Amino acid sequence: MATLTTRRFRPAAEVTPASGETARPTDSAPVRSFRSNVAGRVVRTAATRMAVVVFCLVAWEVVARSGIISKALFPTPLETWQSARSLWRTGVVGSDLRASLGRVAVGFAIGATVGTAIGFATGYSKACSAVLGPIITFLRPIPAIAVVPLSTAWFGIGQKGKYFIVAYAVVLAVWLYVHDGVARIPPVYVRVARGYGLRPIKILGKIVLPATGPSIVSALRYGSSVAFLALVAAELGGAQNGIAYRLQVDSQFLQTGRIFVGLIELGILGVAADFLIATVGNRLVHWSST
Amino acid sequence: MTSTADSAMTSNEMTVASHNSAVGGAPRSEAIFLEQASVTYRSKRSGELTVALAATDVTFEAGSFTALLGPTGCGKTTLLNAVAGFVELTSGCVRIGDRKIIKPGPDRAVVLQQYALMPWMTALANVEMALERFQLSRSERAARARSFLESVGLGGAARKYPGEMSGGMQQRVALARAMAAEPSALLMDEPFGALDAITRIAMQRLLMQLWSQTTTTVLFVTHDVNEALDLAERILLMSPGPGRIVADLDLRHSDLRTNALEREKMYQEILGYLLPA
Ligand SMILES: Nc1ncnc2c1ncn2[C@@H]1O[C@H](COP(=O)(O)OP(=O)(O)OP(=O)(O)O)[C@@H](O)[C@H]1O
Ligand SMILES: [Mg+2]
Repeated sequence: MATLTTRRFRPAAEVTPASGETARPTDSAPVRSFRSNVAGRVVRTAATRMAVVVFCLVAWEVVARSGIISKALFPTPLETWQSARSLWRTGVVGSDLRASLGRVAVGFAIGATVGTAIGFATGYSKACSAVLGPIITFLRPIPAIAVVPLSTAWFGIGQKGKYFIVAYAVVLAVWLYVHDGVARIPPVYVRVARGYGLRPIKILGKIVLPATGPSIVSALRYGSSVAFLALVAAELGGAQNGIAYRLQVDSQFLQTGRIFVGLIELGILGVAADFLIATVGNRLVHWSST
Repeated sequence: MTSTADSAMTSNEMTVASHNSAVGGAPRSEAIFLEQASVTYRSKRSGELTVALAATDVTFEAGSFTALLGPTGCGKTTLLNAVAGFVELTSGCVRIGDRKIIKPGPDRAVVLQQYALMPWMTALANVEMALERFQLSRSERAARARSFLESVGLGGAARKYPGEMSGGMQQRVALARAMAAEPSALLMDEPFGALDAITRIAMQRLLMQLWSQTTTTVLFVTHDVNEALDLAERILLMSPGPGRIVADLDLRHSDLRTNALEREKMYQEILGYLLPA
């Protein structure tokens, strides 16, 4: 996963010397070679990733043709691609994606907001931790899939129930990371800020919040992967559309090509969500070395 | 990564503009009094008690520069933290001016070995933090912070983040931040301990220059005998088990900085206290 952590480098040309005396590199070989090094690294990373993708496709093709697994149950990449195209043409992919993404997005937004807020409360205040801590600790081992029956009883099989299941899983995941992040802020930061006379509200906004930034990014990344797990649980528990719903239907008709398409869709969505959060997040907490 | 231009300061960089108080007039300085002050730590695991500072009476005159010198574990940090308000006294009291110290406050700025800059703030924002309490307008605050950065030779690094600065630069930002708060007392705990020898000398000179222009009361913790001899008007020698002051040396009327022989004698005398036969 190391490839997903992005770091912000300033081009060497922007770096001003601290003291006025040092000459600024205006048009110099070091600047150019720095740039070409960066470009070289980007190209190499992209090439490596392409190579991995190609290798996987080839391996997949070989396994599928070899017949180790019955050909009817294990489609080749080409067959999968054809399934994808026909699903796309009939509009199934589009409507499933819309349905699933909507559920994940709303559930994640609610869960991440609530989880972050509770994480701050329990991490910052011992009293909150004493009251809420045991409740959350009790809920944490209860997986989203176990909540599906209750959700159906409460909300029926409409959208609300899906949001509830996703949000439930995300709250617990995000809470843990945020709580831990707040609780682990090096005390020296708060101490110093208090020493300079900052009021508690300023300490929360200017010290605790940014100091927790890296943990929040981790929390949201983990939360987004949990959101997709919960989505599958929610859709398998009763839905009329969505990627996981489609997987279940295709499974009944042994349409493995279409099943593969659904699985790949889930994988791509998960990677894309993680990439988005990591990229935006690491930009915001650019000062953090993680 | 540290270029020589970053860490070794040249003398013309250290033009220190003297600052008026943000609230008008010259910043005040105040004396610090320890009265039968003692600190005993109780280990959280074993419950074992450590007398880190035995009952101590000492006065630091307003505007004085005192070094606390001693081997590791003799209670230097404990004494300093008691004045900073970071540790609770087991008995006695610490006063600054006529106020009893019970918690940290902006009248006492602390500079630590590990800089304690906020990594998510630029150098400028770090210094501005110390100005929060003065109720300045946004632009006044930025201008004032900038002038403190200039006074430590970092006018050009205002937009840098701590992670982009060398250790010496970070410690200069920490010093600028401390001075910007206009403390009555500046409490420094091995502030230059992590710096290379040359940067360290530059920082010592900078500190002396700042101090001579502000007349802040300085407590300076070090375990380097030479650093104490170079900087302080007064040296308190401390010894462990229990942590206490074992000697109080007044250097105001000596000429250690010009008389090498006298300095050597003082050096040996200090070693005599610190390395009992
Ligand atoms: N939080 C604590 N809990 C228990 N014991 C402590 C604590 N802090 C310090 N001590 C003990 O108190 C004594 C004095 O510690 P202190 O940190 O003041 O020493 P110091 O002179 O600053 O040493 P150094 O030069 O190594 O920084 C030591 O024996 C130390 O082990
Ligand atoms: Mg110490």
